[in-house]
Amino acid sequence: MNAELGEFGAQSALRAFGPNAEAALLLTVVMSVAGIVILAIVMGLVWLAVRRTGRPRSWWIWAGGIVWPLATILVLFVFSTITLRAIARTDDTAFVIEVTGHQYWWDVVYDPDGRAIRDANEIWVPVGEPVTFRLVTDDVIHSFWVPSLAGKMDMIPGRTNAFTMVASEPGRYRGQCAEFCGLSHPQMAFEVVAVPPDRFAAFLDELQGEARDAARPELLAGKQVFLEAGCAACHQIRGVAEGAMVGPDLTRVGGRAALGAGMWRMNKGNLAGWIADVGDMKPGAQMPNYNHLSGPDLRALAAYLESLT
Amino acid sequence: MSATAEHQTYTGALKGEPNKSFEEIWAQPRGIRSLTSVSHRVVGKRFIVTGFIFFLIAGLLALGVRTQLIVPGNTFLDLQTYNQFFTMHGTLMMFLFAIPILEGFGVYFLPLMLGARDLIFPRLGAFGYFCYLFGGIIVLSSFLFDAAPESGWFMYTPLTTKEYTPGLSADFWLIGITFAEIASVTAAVELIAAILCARAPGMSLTKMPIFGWYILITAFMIAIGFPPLIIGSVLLESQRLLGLPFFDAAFGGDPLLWQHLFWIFGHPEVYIIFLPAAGFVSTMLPTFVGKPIFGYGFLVAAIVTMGFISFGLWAHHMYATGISPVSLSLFSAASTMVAIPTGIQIFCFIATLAQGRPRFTTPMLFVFGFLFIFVLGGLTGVMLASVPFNFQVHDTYFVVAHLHYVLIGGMVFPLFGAFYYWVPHFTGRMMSETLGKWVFWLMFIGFNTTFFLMHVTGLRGMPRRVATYPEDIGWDRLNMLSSIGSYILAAGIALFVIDFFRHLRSGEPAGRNPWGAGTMEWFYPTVAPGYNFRAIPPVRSREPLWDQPELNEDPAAVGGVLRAYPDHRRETVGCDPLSGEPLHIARLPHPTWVPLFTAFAIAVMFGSLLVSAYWVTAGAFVAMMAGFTAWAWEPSDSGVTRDAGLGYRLPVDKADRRSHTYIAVIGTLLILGALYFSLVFGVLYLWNTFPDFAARIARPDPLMAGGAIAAAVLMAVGAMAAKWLSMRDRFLTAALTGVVTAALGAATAGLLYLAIADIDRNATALGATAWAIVAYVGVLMFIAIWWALFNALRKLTGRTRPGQHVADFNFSPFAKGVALFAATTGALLLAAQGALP
Amino acid sequence: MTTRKNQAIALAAPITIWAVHFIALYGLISASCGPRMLMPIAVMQMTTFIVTVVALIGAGLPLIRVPVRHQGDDLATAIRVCALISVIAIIANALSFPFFSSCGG
Repeated sequence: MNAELGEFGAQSALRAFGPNAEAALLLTVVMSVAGIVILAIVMGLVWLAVRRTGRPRSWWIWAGGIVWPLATILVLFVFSTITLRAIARTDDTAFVIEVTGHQYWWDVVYDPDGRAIRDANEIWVPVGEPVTFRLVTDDVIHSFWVPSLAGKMDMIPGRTNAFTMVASEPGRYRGQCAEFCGLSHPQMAFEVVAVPPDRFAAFLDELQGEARDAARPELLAGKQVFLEAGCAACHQIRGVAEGAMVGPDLTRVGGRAALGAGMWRMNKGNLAGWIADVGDMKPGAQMPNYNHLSGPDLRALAAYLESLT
Repeated sequence: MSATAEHQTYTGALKGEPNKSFEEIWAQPRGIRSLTSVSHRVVGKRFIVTGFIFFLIAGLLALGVRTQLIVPGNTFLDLQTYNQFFTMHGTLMMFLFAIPILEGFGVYFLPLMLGARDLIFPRLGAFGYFCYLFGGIIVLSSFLFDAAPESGWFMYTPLTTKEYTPGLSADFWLIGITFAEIASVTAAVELIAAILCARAPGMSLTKMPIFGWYILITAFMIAIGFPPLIIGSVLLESQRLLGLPFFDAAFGGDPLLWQHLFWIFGHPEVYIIFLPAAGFVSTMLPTFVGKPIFGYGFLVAAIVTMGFISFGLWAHHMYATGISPVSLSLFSAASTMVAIPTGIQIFCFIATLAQGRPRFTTPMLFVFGFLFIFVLGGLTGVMLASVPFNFQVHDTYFVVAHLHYVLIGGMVFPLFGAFYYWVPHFTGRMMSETLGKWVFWLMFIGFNTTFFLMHVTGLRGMPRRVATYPEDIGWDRLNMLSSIGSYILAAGIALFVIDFFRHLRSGEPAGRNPWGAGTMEWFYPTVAPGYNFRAIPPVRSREPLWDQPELNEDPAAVGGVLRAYPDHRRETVGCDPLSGEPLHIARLPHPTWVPLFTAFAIAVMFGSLLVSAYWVTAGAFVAMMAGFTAWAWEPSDSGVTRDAGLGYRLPVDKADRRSHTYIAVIGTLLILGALYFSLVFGVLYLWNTFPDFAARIARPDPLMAGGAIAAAVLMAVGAMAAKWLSMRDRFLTAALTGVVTAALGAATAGLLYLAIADIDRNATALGATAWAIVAYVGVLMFIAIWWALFNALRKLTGRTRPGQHVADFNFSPFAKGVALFAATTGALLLAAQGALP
Repeated sequence: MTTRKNQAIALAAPITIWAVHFIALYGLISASCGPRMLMPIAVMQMTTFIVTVVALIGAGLPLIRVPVRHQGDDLATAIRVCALISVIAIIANALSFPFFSSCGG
């Protein structure tokens, strides 16, 4: 893991950890430098024009207004188009991860055409191997963006967008919805966890199985609360309550680093707070508040969910 | 035009005020009757003041946004309020501040600069203002009902559909903004006609001050650019009200269609805002350098090409939607090409500066501020045209920084310069130079602190439109500094407002031509009389006050046309659009309640639509039609000629292809055509994008569609025949032909309806859009029928006298245009016959 | 009078041709890359080439022959610069087409 990254992982286009982001960063740096130089020259000319008095010639306009911008643009245009051609390729052989945007969370399906393993809000990818993200939405338009890995792409009703990217270093990279999608748009983030390919394969195998058994009595009580309070109407925990697709899959919810779509640290306290008063933490979320649960029930449920790793 | 024989006696309706002197004829009504004023000086000032108030409100909203973001996890505003604030900030700034205030400057100054006594359609100007005011009030009143729009100023579907935004907030936006847009579009027609058709004798297009070119192209851009959004808004509103599935993916609609329609408007909008402001700059620069603008020809070319190319950028805002890379590159090309006209303008400004030592007045400081900020914003704009870069920074604070650099640098700074420059013209007094420099530096430093840092914030990954952000992610300090900068910027604007009120009482009197400018608006000592010119002097130069010494003598005595006023009417001279030679005398209306009444009727219509009180809507519709009828009822005074002075003997309100009314009809057709082709674009787009849904639609009836084409052609012939007969003063047969024309129009609409009667408009978006096209043609037909019957009725009741041909002369191109749209629709339906499998 | 009319046309025509060219290319891309796939990409590129050549000839005309009385005046400059920008912009419209062999890149 990259030690220099903060608690949430990198979310910056200036710190690139993959070829897509690196290409964009190179463009950014080159264009910024060119931009600053051009700005300085133009301002220098303004200064000269103010200080000196002379007879302007029309070749100034030809040179400065037409030839100069044209030359700059041409270089930029070719550079940019070549970069675009390089990053716009979708790789047919790449591993596919389908991400569905919801108000305000992300449904994740690994290998949708094969094993179709479902998870939510945290996406694991193998380091150094191309991954194709297939992007759809269940409601309004969202935009899938992990700045440190690649540029963004929208999720649009009625369409399927896709792009291929590679993470070149292991680490946690934060992403966020980049298209305004309603009330809690600022609270719709996620994390991409890049791990070595063998670790990734192991992760998938582990994920495909059923949820870890509740061994201790406290956790068993929590599992009971989960089933009795009606959580299973929306949430799936494989091996416990299967089939519900309305809310995020909770099979390994405790294993995620963050709660509430990349927003809060995953721990018992936050989990309990979330269940009791989700409307306060994330206004507009579809999940109702469960503040009628008794204190012990709530604690047990939170403990059980946290144990699901 | 042989029939326009000279009728020497005044046969028109007697609308003059024979007991009044010239000054009294042009006097502004006072008290409550000032609402009847139609003078461009009054209307222009109203636009500017109202626009500035919206600017202040929107600025306060922005301060709320910045205060919320000053620290991570702030709870100053809740999510909903924050979303309302940034939505309304963008909406007010773009629709209710920027465009109207710039149009206000155009409305106020163009006649003065071009040598006209008033804008050529004074009532239309007043009507447009009231539409704007009422539309703005509707949008703003949403705060009172706790239903302020909260879906962003771009209103992306499906977030704005009933499903995801129940309640009225989106309706407030759609209805209020569409209403205000009517104002912008009417002003566009008015400005086009005023610039082309009402200039001082001898002012050919190349003798016109460059400001005229800027506004002319801007007006054309508004005429083409606003219709797509109007269509989009109407479609979205009917989806919300009637459930038609235009943008619903489940029925073969497409949220991207909304984005296309929105941005075909939205991108040119930026240039619509920039061009007039650049016009300010190129008016102020020569004054303070003391030399004419350098490179007039280059500037004209830059303005014209910018007006066109800026339309090719719309997908600039849709790079991340998954459009094919080939398509992206096309838009990317146009995006970068805009740099050339921009570069030309910047270099013309620099070359102008090089001609002499500029005086460092407050307006000039703002011009320098403009140069710095706008060039920087333009450069980041070129960066954004690069697709891979755009994938990263789209919808981040980098874009927020860029757009504020372009809009504040390209528009607000020149605008404040223009305030300082022209304020003596409004009030007769100068604003403080000392305070003005404070205002500038506060705004300049505050602006750059706020927005320069946002480039970095965006690159560090902060998306737009987020009400909160987590700590420790690298955005805290940058946001804090941006917020502090915004307070400095606000302090500068507050100081400006304070100085404005101070100067009203104790500002130094300005006198005549306080800056030593060369353009005609400084012809009179401030404040100039409401008629602008006692006699309209011939113009031989782009800087008449510099090059024509006689203009600096007593302005009331300077020789020119229309010194005499035999008919005791308000009038100005209409010119040939290209050469500027006097063509006819244009009679102008006197103060009237009709614009206010009609605009109010429309406001009631829209307001009742909002609360679903459809009976009120119907009543208001009748009132609106009555208003328009009263507006047009008096025939124009064509058919007489008058001695205009300086050896000109001119007809009054000539029926001619070069006259303002004819040009206005053509301008209106341009707008109607843009509306029509926005719908056609929608149909082709949906047909091409969703073949499966297209296959489900019932086929239109080919017989009826063919019949509609035939009827439309006959209708056009009828209108031409009515014109031909009327021009020869055969009023009875002309009236009967008009009735037949109206009947043919009704037949065309009816046949089109029958052609698509089998298509289910609720089942597919394509079907719904086909209905929308026919409905739109139906509305146009209704107007054409109304106009034809109106002309006929006026003839049959004896209101039309020999020589009065303008109404029929102008109806003919309108009818032909509408018939063309109807026939095209018929042809599309016939083609659909073959294209639908 | 007719000279003035010709001048107005010479000023507006090239950039109008640019607009038509832009719309044509947008239409061609949509026809070729849209779900309907109305034409193969090679046909689209060929048509683009032809359309571009025609547009360039049209937009470039005022460059060769400016309908003005004397060459030095501002209108002549405006017409010539307008035509030049239009020609450049038309080339730019078509510039990226050879870079792509399919719609997907």
